Parts: sequence; C-alpha cells; structure tokens
Amino acid sequence: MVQRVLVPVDGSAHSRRALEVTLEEFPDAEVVVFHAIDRYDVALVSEPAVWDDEFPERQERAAEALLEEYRDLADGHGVEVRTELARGKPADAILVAVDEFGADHVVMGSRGRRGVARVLLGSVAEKVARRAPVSVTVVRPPET
Amino acid sequence: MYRVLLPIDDDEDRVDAQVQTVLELPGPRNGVEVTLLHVIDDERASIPKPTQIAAGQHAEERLTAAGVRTLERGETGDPARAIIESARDLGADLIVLGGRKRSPLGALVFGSVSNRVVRDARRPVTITGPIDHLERPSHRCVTCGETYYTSRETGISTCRRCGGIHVERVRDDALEANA
Repeated sequence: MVQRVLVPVDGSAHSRRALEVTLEEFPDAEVVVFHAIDRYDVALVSEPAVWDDEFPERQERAAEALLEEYRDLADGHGVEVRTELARGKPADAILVAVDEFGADHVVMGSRGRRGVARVLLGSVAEKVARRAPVSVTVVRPPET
Repeated sequence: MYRVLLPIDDDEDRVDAQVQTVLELPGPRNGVEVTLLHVIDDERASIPKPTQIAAGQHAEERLTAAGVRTLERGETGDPARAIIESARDLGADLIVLGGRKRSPLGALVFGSVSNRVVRDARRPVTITGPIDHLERPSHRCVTCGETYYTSRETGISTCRRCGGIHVERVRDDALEANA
C-alpha cells in the first residue's frame, strides 16, 4: 500500500492537477508537496530579478507563497499536507527528496510552468520517471 | 469501478512490477478492473490475446487470485497510439506501464513508447520503478549472500562482491506453486 507520496510542484496547472489526483487517488497516504528552488528560475519572482544579496531571499519567499497555495488546495479537499523546499536543479532535487522523505511513490505533472506550449514530455518529468527508485505517476490537466 | 489499462509485452519481470503496482492501489480489490493489453506492431498480424503469452497468463493469474477483475484486449499497429486509444475506449482511470529493466549503467531506459504515452495520454500514467523496488531478488550468492536484481534468464558466473562462483537463481515461489 502506498504510504507516502511525494508531489513535486512548480506553480503550473500540471502541478495543481498532480496534487488533486494524489488527494483523490491516495486518500490514506501522507502527502509531501515539494518545490525545488532553481537559482536560475527568475520567472517566479514577480518584480524584476536583480542579482543582489536579497535575490535568494525573495526567491524563498515566493516559493513559500507558492507552497501556501498548495496547502490551501489540499485544505479545500479536507487534507493537511506537508510541504518542503530545497534548492537545486529540479530533477536532481526531486530524486534526493524521494530518498530523504522516504516516499514510496511520486505523482507529478508531465510538464511544468516553464514548458514551452508544445507536446514534448518535460525533461524534469522524464528524468524523474527514468531514475526514481519508486514508481512515478505522471499527470496532465484535463483538456479544456 | 476503477479501470486500469495494463499494456504488456513478453517481459515477465516488468509485468510483475506492473501487477504489483495495481495490487498496491488503495481501496478494495473488487473495486478495480484491469484490462491487459497486448499490441503487435504489425498491421497485418492477427489480433493478439494477452493470455496467449506467458507474461499475460502470469498477470491474469496473479490479479485474479487477488480478487481483481481482469479483462483482455489485443491490438495491432503503433503501440503508443493503440495504448492511448484503448485507454480512451475503456474510459481508463489509469495506465500502468512497466519501466524498462535496469541497464548495466543502473538507470532505466525510458522507451519511446512510454515516452509518447506519458506525453499524449489524457489520463494519469504510472511508470513502475525498477525491479528491486519489489524487493524480490533474482539471484543470490550462496557464499556471501549478495543479492542481485536482474532478469532471471541472466547467468551470473562470479559474485561481484566475494568472487564466489555459486550464484544461484532465487526460486519464485509463486510461480513454482502454480507449476
């Protein structure tokens, strides 16, 4: 029985769908919503990125706000989820998180926010699906 | 009814991992229905039946024994497209694909079929983890106890840990019991 699901998120519609699917399909499992702060991912910061000493803190605040949205989403389903942050390249950070948090399953979006609007499977999802020591479920939002 | 589409090929270890994933789904077993799918990549071939191959039979036996309703379906033509269309026809809630066997480099090779199904499917797709996720070794060294997770067909002449020459295949008791 799946006991702890890691849900890597990045603010995209795919990530939201991944959390929704997790809450629907694994109602008895513990859920860890995880976000990796990628130093070069400047789009998350709403004001213009300025490469000063405060930039990492701004990124962190933006990431905390992002995770708060996912906690709220889970709250709407009546579920309390754990959230975790780390720094690093997303695919690598996710693989480390699987081990670190003792997840026995991963649910993630097929593409992220940064995915160009085309049909290729995102490189992060592919890397994780390829290398994770546990099974990985990949989801995408329903067609609108 | 939670419907799972389970595309299979002739690799029994992968099918084992896929079946294991289905059995680990939450909820009662009789609330899950699995359709085994076998696709032959040749439009001119006759429609295959999953239980005509050993892996399909094995899956059907394990699932049925566990109380999961199991159906089967065969298609010819492009495998990725057949999988996606079958999932749509069945109204599948989930597609469970087997990850590739571990390569000598220790990483799964993400097959082109898996890649396209994950990319194009309108529903969640689970890729199973590598074989050792099942915690059932394929071989064990008689001398030092080192366990291996590889295909049972592989012959291992020398233990990588102690150099011993007696590395035996681990009996799969479930298979033996049905023999």
